[in-house]
Amino acid sequence: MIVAKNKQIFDKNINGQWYLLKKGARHMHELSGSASTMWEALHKPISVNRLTKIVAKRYGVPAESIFDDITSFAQRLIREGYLVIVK
Amino acid sequence: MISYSPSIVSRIRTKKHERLQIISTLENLMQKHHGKVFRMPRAGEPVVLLLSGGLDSIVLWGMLLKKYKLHVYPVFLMRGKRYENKQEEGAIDYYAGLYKGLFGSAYRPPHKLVFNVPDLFDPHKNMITYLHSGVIMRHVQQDGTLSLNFNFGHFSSFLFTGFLYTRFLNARENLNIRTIFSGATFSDGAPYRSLTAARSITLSFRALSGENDWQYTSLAYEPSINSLLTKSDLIAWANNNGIELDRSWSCGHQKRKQCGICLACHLRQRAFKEAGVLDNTRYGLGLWGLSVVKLTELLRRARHFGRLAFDQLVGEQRSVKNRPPDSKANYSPPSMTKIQLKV
Repeated sequence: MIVAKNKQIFDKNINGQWYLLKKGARHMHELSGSASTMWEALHKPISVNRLTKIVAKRYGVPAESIFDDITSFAQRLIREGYLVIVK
Repeated sequence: MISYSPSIVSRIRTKKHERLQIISTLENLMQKHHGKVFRMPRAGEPVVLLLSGGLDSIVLWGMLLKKYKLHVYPVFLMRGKRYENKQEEGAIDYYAGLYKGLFGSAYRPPHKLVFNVPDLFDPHKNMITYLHSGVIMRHVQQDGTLSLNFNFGHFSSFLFTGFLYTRFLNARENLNIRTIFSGATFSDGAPYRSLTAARSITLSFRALSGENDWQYTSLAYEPSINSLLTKSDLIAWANNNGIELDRSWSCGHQKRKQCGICLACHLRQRAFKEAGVLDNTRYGLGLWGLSVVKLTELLRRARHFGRLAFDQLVGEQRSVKNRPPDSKANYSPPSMTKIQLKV
């Protein structure tokens, strides 16, 4: 599954922390944990597998141990409308 | 353009909002039909100065009085949220007292006009519903609060308020004022503070009144008198002429002290540094008591140690893909927290 940032949303990095806002929303979301690393890697369309490897490399952990975390969080971002499935 | 030196033209050309062709066309039109573009008033002539209480307009006020010996009628527009806070008004009152003592008979007290157009969010509690999300995101803080401040009633109304004020002075004191100075400097970036805007406003004044001797300009940005002065030039001039600037107000946040963090404070601090003049302004917070300039310098030094957070603060993010593993960062599952936006 290849995902990309939804072009309709707005993001901002404040002191290393990413904040996301959907058009018309009255709330924003703050990314925490390894989500910020994920978000930074999403500057262009990317597969969830590749995302997992980038996060794993960044934190020095085995990719297979975090695959489920990354996949479920990517699905949550899709549900919230921050990500879209490209392929 | 009318006989400006190549160095002046090349400096104007560097400004983002300047349109040389428009300036040239307007100047040629005014020269041909009205006989002049700009003539510096002679000593003792009355002029109006649009005064904001900021550092630039305070210094230009002093410069018009001391260097050009003009009779300056300052007009101060109290507007919106800023009107409620009084910081700029306090600065004006302070320098009015100072200039009255320094310049005696040439001094005229500032005329304060209330222009009570409130800031955008005052009457509209639900601004989030109609503000563009991109605008919200530009101004949002970590805790979800919005730090934006639309100062309606500023530049657009200021110009014509100055124009009306000359009419008022004509009726009350029989003064025939045709020159309005703004507080723009050469280092300003806003389009309404450009030479292009100044020339088109001059033409507007002439067209509106049918009087061809109107002129609108800034003493710090008038190429016909070879004056292209930046904020740091003004600070240096004030310093050489014994005018302390610590009481002038630049901050975009209306609190008791200037914050030392916002863009206006940052530009002020940088200009003092460029001018080589000690900045005695009392800033409020500054992070850990540091000014933005000092903090940025510290962060730049710290960047050499490869710390990601500092990199992000000073705006140079390395590609996440090429970033080495962070041995200190412990993996935690990705998550996100919902934050309600607050106005």
